[in-house]
This record gives sequence, structure tokens and C-alpha cells, in this order.
Amino acid sequence: MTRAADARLGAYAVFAAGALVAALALRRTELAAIAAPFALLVALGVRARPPRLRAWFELDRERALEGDVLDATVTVRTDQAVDRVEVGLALPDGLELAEGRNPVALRLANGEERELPLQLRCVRWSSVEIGEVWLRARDHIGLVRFEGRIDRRRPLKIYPTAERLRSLVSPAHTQATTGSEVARLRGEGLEFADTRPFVPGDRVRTINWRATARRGALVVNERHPERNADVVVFLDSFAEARTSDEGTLERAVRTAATVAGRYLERRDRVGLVAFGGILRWLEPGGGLVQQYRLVDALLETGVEFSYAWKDVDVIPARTLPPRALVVAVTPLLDERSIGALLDLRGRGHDLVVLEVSPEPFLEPGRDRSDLAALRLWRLQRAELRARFERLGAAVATLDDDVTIEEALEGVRAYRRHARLVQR
Amino acid sequence: MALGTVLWLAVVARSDAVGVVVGLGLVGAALTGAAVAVPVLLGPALAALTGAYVALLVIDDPPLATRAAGVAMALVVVGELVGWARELIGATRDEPGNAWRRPAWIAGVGMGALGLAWGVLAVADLARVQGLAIEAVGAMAALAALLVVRRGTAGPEA
Repeated sequence: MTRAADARLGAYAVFAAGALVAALALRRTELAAIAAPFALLVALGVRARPPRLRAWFELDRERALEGDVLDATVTVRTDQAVDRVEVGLALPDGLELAEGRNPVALRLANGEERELPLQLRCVRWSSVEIGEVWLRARDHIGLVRFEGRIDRRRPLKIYPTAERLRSLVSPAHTQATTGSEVARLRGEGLEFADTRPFVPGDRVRTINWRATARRGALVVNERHPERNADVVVFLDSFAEARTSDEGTLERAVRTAATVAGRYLERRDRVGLVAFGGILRWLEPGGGLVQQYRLVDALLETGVEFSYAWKDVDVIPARTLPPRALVVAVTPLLDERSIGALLDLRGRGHDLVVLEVSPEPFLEPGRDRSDLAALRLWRLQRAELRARFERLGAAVATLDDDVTIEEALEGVRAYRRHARLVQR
Repeated sequence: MALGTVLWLAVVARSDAVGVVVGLGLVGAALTGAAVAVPVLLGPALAALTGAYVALLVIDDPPLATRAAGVAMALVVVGELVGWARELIGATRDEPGNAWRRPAWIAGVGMGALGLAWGVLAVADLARVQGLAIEAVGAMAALAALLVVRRGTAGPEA
């Protein structure tokens, strides 16, 4: 433990010395009498010895969801009596104290062990390490304090809570393996597609007897097979707009986790490209393991400042399969990610843009020029959205009033309309 | 507490010393308040409060002012109260049942300061009078020194 003097120690020492000098200079015993208690306090204070303190930290689990309350315990033990020891648990971003006292000042008897129960609320998704306990002890005099940090850190992953989605955006193309997505092609499946004349090789069970009776020739049913799809979640982490509490990245990660989780539930293969100062990617895959991989990768995502120009060429080719649906979650603030998305669409990828609106995090000025600048900025963003839509990429905006479900409904409506135009 | 000390000194000071005592005392009280936020000012605050008392001593020039014990107690309590106030500003709270310890400690230290200052003044007064009493104190001090030397030179007990 490191030793640190309280501000009073220096003040008392200087004051006592000054008063004694003044007593000699003025030949007044009274000043020596005034100095005596301060000199005694300083003499007793500097004799203080560091107490032997130990601390432990326990947490009831290593993974939690946003909003969960965790039970934590800080245990402090001493081999000698300590008049006052302040015990504090350093809380990383994403956690707040729900119940208990932190920090707290204790009085410990000789050999006493004390447990401090705490309840911590997970307020924001993150991947953190928790367990750094700091101790600050002092004796009765309190002129010298002893400080130390005990590292009992352990990892804690706080997963974002997923919004409930009833339906998703159907990809334009499906893959060969079985899934939950009704494919556009025709084959063996459940969903009725069309009827056609019987040809040799057709199975008898596919014959539509009602249509056959009406036409006088054998007619068979065609069906859409159920296939899975490749979905790549493209998370833009180049820039964000934020206030002290929340930013676009938090919302983007929550949206990406929700969408990815829902696609995985449908047995689709989902990959991730976190496109920012640091490029992170995860090749498409399916199942529970992939879901954990995805969320872990999302938790590591942060806005890392970078001047380096990046385009889609830096993304590994296998991460972006040719017929994959790319769901981009972006605040549309950085030219590099906007350029990459336009490039992806230009290369023929099926693209959906979920724009996490930075507007709730703005505080526009009040004078006329500020308001004019805001209007201009909004016009530029509207033009950018229109540019994506002209290229056939649906853009939906998420903000305080629009949920992911509502945004995806807008995307689905656009894509139905776009298909009609293409035909 | 600092203002109370100033008021007390102003009441006991002669009329020609009141202005200086009150002026220095108010500066000391203001510095004491500021020391809660800027702890470096605690030393100057104590010095200014003592300066008020020194002004009283210099102008009134009493032979031996026993008020010094009271001033010492007041200054110690002021210093400890500043320390306590700074602790209370912090985020750390005492666990229930321990909050009374600090004011009790401050009161005890104040009383101890009063007693110690009284003792110093008493010894000084004995030296000033230089009668039989000082001889008795000298004899007691010599006896105490002998006891300390004997205890220090005694071997380990069997």
C-alpha cells in the first residue's frame, strides 16, 4: 500500500513549527502552548504503520443481459484493527450500483473479515473486466492514509437485449440448403407456387386432381422449397453521434444483434463485417455457437478513430458471399462507409440500409445560421437516402420513435414495390 | 468554530486591539471556509487565526495569558473539522452506526489539546515564578529520568 499524507499533516507541521519560532521570537510561552497539540498530533500521525488488508471479489455470473441485476460480494479481511478503511469497487462503463454502498467506510477489529454485498445493474452492453477493489485506510489520527488497489478482475460480458421481431426482410436469393425462407425457385416444398401440365417423371402425389378434372389433362402442383439464406450484417463503426449517455453505436449494435439473432433462429447463415477504424469480420455460419461468436464480436466493436481510407476491397471475399443479403446498420456519417455500401450495391449485392439516425443526439444551435445549416444537413441526408434507393437499396431510419420492427416493415414495403418495378 | 473563536477574542480584547483581532480573525475564518475546498489553505487559515491572538497578546501584553489553551483547543477543532468536512464531501459514506465516531474523536482531540496546552502553560508559569514549585517539578523530572534509565538497563526477567 502506498503512503500518502493528508493535507492536514503538512498544515499542522508547518503551523507548529511557525508557532514555536514565533514563541521564541516574541518570547511568548502562549504560542508554544498553542503549538504543542499540533506538534503532538504530527508526531503521533507520522508513526502510523500500514495495515495488512486483503480483499476478494466474487460475481455470481460471467454473462448477463442488459437490464440484469448481478450479485457481487467484496470481502475485506485485516490482521490488525483499522479505525477507518474505505472500500470501493471500480465500476466499469455499462454497470451501475443498484443496491448496496460503494464506496463505504468500515471500522475493522483485529482479525475481522467483512463481506459487502452489492447489486450491480447492467445498463449497457459491453465486454468489461470487473473486480478492481481499492482500499484507503487510516488510523485514529488520520494524518496519514494508506492506499492500495487489489486486482481481482474477471471478465463480464453484457449482451444487448434483443428487440422482438415478428418478421424479417426476405433475401432476394436463397442458398441450396434447407431453411425457413420460402425460395423463389420451384421444387419440393410446402408453399404452393403454380400449376403446370404433367410431364413424365412427375410424382403422382403432385397431381392436382381438381385442375386435371377441369382441364381434361393431367395437371401437377408446383411448390416453393424452403431454403436458408446468407445474411451479412454490415456494422458501420467509423463514426458515431453521441451524448454522454447513449450514442448511435449502442443503438446500431443492439439493432445488429437483434437482426442477426432473428436470422439465426430461422436457420440462416449469418456473418458480420464491423467496418470501421479496425475491421472485424466473421464468416457466415449458423447455430448457437455462431450467435455467441457474433455477439462477442459485436461487444468488441467500438469507434476507433482513423484517417485511413478503406473500401470494400479490404473485406475478405469469403465474408461476403455473392448471393448474400447485406443488412447495413449505419448512422451514414462517414464517407468511407457510405462509399463502401454504394460499392457493394454496385457490385450486385442485395443491400438493405438500416440508418441509425444521429438526429436524437444533436443539439442544434438557435440562431438562423445554425438552423439553416441543420436544414441543409437534413437535405443532404435525404439526398443520400434517395441515392441508395435509386440504386435499389432500401433505406429505413431508426430513431426514438421508430422501432426495428417498424423500420423493417418499411424495407419490406420498399422491396415489394421495387420487385414490381423490376418486372 | 473559527468565527466563534474570533468573536471570543474580540470580546476579551482591549478596545485598541479589537480592529486588528477582528480583521485577522475574519481573514482566518474565510480561509478556513476556503480550506474545505482547497486544503492547502488550512495552514494559512490557522496562522491567520493565531495572528489574531498574537495581535491581542502584543497589544494587551498580559504576563501569561491562560486563554492560549482555549485558542489551542479551538484551532485543533477547526483543523479537524476541516478534515471531517472534506471527508463528508467525498462519495464514501460510513457504514451505519459509525458516523458518530468522528465528532466524538474531534471532541476528544479538542479536550486533549486543551489539557496539553494547559500543561505547557502550567510548566511555564512554574518556571516564571521560580519558587519551591519549580524545584519540585525538577525533582520529579529527575526521578522520572532515573526510572526510565533503570527500566532501560534492566535485564530480561528470569
